[in-house]
Amino acid sequence: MASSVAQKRLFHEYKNLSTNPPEGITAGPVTEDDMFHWEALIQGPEGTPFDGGVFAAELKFPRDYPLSPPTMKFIGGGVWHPNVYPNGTVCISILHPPGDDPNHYEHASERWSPIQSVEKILLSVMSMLAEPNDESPANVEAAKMWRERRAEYEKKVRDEVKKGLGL
Amino acid sequence: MDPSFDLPDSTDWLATPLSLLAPFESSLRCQVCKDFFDNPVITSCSHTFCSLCIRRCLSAEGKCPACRSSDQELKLRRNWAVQELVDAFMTARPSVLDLARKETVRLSQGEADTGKPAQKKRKVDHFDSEEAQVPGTSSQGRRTRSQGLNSSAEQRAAPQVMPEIVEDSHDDEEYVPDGLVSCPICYRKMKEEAVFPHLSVHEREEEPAFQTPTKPTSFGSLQVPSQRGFTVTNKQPERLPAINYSILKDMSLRKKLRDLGIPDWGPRQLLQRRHTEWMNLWNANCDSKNPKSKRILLQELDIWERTQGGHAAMPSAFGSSNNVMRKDFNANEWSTSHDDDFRRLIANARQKSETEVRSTIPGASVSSSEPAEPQAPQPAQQRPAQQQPAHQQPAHQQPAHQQPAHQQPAQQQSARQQLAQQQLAQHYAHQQYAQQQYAQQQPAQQHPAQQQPAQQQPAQQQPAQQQPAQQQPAHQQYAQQEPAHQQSAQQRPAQQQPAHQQPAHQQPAQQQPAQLPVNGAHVQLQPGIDANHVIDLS
Amino acid sequence: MTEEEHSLNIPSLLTLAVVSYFVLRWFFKRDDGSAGGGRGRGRGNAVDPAQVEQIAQMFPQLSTRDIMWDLQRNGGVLQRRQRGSSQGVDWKLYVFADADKNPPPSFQPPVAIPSTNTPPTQTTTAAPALKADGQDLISRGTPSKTTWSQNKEERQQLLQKRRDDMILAARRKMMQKNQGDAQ
Repeated sequence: MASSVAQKRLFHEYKNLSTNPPEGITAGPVTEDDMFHWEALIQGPEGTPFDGGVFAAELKFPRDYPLSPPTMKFIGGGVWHPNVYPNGTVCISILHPPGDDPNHYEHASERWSPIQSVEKILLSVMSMLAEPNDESPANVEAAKMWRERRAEYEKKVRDEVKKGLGL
Repeated sequence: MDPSFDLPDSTDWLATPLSLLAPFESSLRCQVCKDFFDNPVITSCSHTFCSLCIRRCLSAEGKCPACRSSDQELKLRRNWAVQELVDAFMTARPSVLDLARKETVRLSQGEADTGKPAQKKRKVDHFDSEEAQVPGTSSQGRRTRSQGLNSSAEQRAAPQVMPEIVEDSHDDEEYVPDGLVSCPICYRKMKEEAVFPHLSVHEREEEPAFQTPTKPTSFGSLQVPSQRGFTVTNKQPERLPAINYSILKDMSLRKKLRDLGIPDWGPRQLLQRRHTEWMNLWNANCDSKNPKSKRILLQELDIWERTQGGHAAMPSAFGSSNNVMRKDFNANEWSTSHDDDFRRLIANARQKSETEVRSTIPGASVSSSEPAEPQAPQPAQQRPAQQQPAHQQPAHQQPAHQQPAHQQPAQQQSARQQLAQQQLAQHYAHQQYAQQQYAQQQPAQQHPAQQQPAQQQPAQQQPAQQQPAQQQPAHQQYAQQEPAHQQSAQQRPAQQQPAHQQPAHQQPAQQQPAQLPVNGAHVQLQPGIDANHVIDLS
Repeated sequence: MTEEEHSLNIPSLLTLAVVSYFVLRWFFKRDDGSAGGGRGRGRGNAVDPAQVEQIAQMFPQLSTRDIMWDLQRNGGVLQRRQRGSSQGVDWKLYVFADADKNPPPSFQPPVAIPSTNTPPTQTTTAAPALKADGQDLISRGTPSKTTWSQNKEERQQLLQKRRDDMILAARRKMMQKNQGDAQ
């Protein structure tokens, strides 16, 4: 099988994330036969309603990775969050290439660049869970609740976290 | 891929006493490809990348990936110093890493009783002459000798800082810090009178040194094979100019590609992307000390063609991912179309590897060593569904060429596949879309033989089966799966490490993994110190 | 000033080098000496009760007799593997070099079970704590530390293990928290 720059680079990232994993993150390919499809687990950041939860997400990498960013989607239960679409797809600036900014709100410096990495994406998503970006809600309902009825939002998130863990 | 596939990485140092070399090595690697710098060039914003990597970035974005300031390919300048650093480090790396790993073992095992007196003596030898030859710039004979050092002496030296090269000649045995001069070529310090004899070494070395391959194709061996046969000597190839594609008609673009000697088939988008890739390959090659022949570049273009170009997938589905399509780039559609192709590749690779795997891993032991965990023996056809969740993979898009992998006769189901499926089944046990299949197929899982009819099921049915699973509330999944999880945690050691199934030849002799009796089964602990096993990907 | 410059001259540098060489040598000697000493004790065919106890604590599911059998079969040689972890915490894993058989019925522990009798307090306190987790040293220690293998299948298993552990740990924590809230 011909291997590409993308496969090698993803292998390096996999090795790095395995031998030197950041706190609260586990990520790797579903099977090494397909380095372009990963699965990640992210711990909910402490001190937020997501605290205690573990969230599974799948990452799909394009063939020209790292020139183009991967897509990320929470699986196994929705994540109630202003920046996560109801189907689980994550909307965060680091996953958008600089040219692609339909909302014109993201700083170019926050967006995807070939020197970004899976690790940085996952860390960004962790911090996104803690601090939603209100400017371009992917889940309008959640954004509204977060803005106007914070207590209800937090309770809903906590309930989802418990449900996600089967409790 | 080979089951023992691994890539050298900066993290290799982390488990050794030389863990501080990890950031060092990391800084010798390109931030884009994570490989060692290959023909490093520096941008006008002073960031260094592989020539090919930055050219690809610039043709896609026109910006430096590190600081996002605009830059042009024309402004790239070669960075010889980094190239030399990388070359020197790559030459020294295998032996240093080997030392460090042996030291790790030594530190953990303690010194061999018999080794002590001999080691002392060797250590003296080591200081006298051998250490001066550790860096690989010296001649081949010395390298061999340095490599042939007794391992205990190597172990001794590992935690110490590699001493500076003081002299190049065996005759100069005194350590005289003062009065040394630097070689004008390699900057090694040596006595003044040693410089001129030393210079002749460089003269001899000069030819081979410039033949050094720039990619670590021979990584792991100290000897760097000459690529003389493929080298265009003494003639820098001319750089290719960028083309403004918009002013070219299809016909003239095709003619341009023909003139360049690269394939001219495919739709216009592909032609442009192919030309851009060729231009990048070509111009990056111009930055090389040791340019590759056009034949090799064409091979590299062919790899690109198979992984990203016209042979990679349905061309219509993704068109250009670099320039034109970026704004309205549909990632889902894109990955869907690519996934088909990739699964075909997987299927091919799997078929290829089966014979080998079957001979080394007896299938019976895989299934028999597995405790009676309900979801363990998952049929083969779950696999594509797991790689591509049903909601993203409409049934009608499944092309026919994927079928063979899932419809293989029962006896071709390799042990490795079964193992992988078992892992995947566990892996997905907590996820929604595995649940439904699990429920449906549970009756058939009582006996492996009964699975066979199920495997003949057409793949198109799979997405349909999985659809209901998505609607199942998450908490039910977890609740139902929890007993299995608990059980698997308790029995984990036995399942996780199928010690007996490892082909013996994969384990270097001195690193025989230890075994432990746990719960009646045996756990194999991977020492994690195997020799640097590298396989060239291409 | 000149004297200070002189103090940084060759003789002093050489002295420094020699001194540090001996210091380093002493340091490593000491290290090796202690390790070798421990082994020497094991060689004498007498199983060290302390070793047995230590292993019993780490692998609560093993019987003392099994441990002694393995220790004696291997001449008391334990491979001590030391792994640095990314968190900077070192841990040591005691591994039998070659243990693939259960003790035969004829096997009599050479030590008259002092290891089970002398430190009963420790074993009884440590073992239940481990059993509450349902994990021994391998399942506790391995996933977070040994996270990379040169073998593809093992890598996959290690990754899977880390994932399982992460989910189970979160579940356990959440259940404890819920119980705490309920009370």
